[in-house]
Amino acid sequence: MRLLIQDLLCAAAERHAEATAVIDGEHELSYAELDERSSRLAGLMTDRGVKPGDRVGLALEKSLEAVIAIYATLKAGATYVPLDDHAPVHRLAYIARDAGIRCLVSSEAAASVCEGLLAEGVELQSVIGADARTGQAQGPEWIPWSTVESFQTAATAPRPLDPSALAYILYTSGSTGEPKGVMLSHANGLAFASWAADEVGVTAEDRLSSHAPFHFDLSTFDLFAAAAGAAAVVLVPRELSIFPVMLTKFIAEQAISVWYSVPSALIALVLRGELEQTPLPALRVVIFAGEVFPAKYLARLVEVLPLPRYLNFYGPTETNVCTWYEVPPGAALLEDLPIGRPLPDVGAEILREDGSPAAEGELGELVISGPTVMHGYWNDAERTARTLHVDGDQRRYRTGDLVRRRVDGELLFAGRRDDQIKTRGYRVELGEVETVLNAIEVVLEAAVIAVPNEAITNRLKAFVVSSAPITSGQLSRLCRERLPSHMIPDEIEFRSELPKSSTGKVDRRALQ
Amino acid sequence: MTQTAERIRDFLIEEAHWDGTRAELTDELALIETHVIDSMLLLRLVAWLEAEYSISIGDADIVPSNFGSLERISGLVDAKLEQAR
Repeated sequence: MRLLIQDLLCAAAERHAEATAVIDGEHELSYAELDERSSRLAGLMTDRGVKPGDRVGLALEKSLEAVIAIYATLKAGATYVPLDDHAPVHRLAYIARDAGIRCLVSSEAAASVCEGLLAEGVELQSVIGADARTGQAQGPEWIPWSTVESFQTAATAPRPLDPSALAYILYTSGSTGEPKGVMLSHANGLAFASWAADEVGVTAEDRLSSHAPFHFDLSTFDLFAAAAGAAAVVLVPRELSIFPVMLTKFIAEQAISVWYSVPSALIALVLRGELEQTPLPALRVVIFAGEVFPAKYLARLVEVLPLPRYLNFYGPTETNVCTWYEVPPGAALLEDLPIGRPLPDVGAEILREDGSPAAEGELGELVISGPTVMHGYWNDAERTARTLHVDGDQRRYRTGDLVRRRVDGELLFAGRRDDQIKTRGYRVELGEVETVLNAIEVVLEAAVIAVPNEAITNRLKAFVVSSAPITSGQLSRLCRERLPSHMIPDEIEFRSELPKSSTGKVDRRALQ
Repeated sequence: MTQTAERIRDFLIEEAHWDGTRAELTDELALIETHVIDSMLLLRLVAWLEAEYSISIGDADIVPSNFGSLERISGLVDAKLEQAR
């Protein structure tokens, strides 16, 4: 019985010790090595004061070490909090403080992120994976990887026995101007990963892509479904994901058999990846999630690559993947793709505004219950209470997504009931971008809208009333200090005033 | 510094939310490593170059050796313009 996520790794290491677990360019780890090295790091973490329930920050590029750090944190009984090493340091400092991170795993390449956090006043006890910075007599203990490798521990790390212990906290856009931490337990992660590994039929022969960054919940499939089947996970270098032809070649050369990404990455392959000229015989399953896949691009993808299974996974970070849909072979992809049916043991209700069940085919809010649903937002009981209803072991989450049920039972996504939008597979609260714009001194008023775009779902367009001359470039720069790149307005238009509704609020609809 | 490079610099400053000064966006700056260009901007840049210069950029041209720096992008454009002549 698998109770904890790391049990997947331990089982793989027992049954398939020599099977490749992770591939990063020239470097590889077998399951035995990943198990051994993550135990070593877990031992070191425990030795340096990491206790069960503590949050350990991951501030390093995607690498073998990052995967080791994830399992090590879990083995130490702690909760991993992946930090986007390309996000502004101000945002990361907020997350580090909010999550109460005292121990960071980093690397020489990403050590500047740790220095940035320290400069922002984040109090750290230890930074693992990087040499001590010069001129810093005070502050955290810096522990290089060489120390980790030679660390000998007699005592095994304490093992949390409760599957409801938090395994990871993923921070996502929050409407009030700061990101919010979604708390996910071992049981949450396992419910999804075990189901997905079964449904996809992951085995030790498979090679899974790892395209999404680790702070994005898609990565939990790549890592944990791979471990569930003792498959290899191939880390996709960022540079390759930028150049479509190179990415196609990478998929071919690495013999990727299971691909998982946001649709926009696949659309880039359809448009510019020369898929027609590159046979991909190993590719047997293509999974996408995070945003709506426009039917015309999906149709072209299926036409060029007719052999793989195509799976549409749906679910906000708060519920993991909670519904899924398999594109029927040979289907005419003319209309919207369903988000499908719930996973086993997952409940999906469609409710009206007043909480009563929607009638057949009627639009309503999707409410998800079951083992994949989060435990709430970290440090924010009030926000949690607004969307999560807890009754004993039962957790019901109001997704804010509007859906309807088709006659054949498949669910169709039909938009949001609030101002959350999707762009490039990321979700963005328009209010968070507006809050950042409004905080800029010369900005009198700002509104942000989503302009639909086929390739990236939405572009962000800001309308700004300023009290002094400022260029859109200057405003973008100021936003960049506070927001990750996918949240920076793609376009900024200056207005002398903004349209208002009868209640005096900015009328976003009048700006569309 | 070519005129082509100047126009592409304008595009990047406007579209890539370049957060340094204009002088810091040098011809040699590594655009991928410094995250000036991401996957979405790259495809927009290609579409803009094709429209702006009436050139056709093949899928196989979209590689780091042609898009790694301003110098390389303008080199690609100049070569395409030369071919068309």
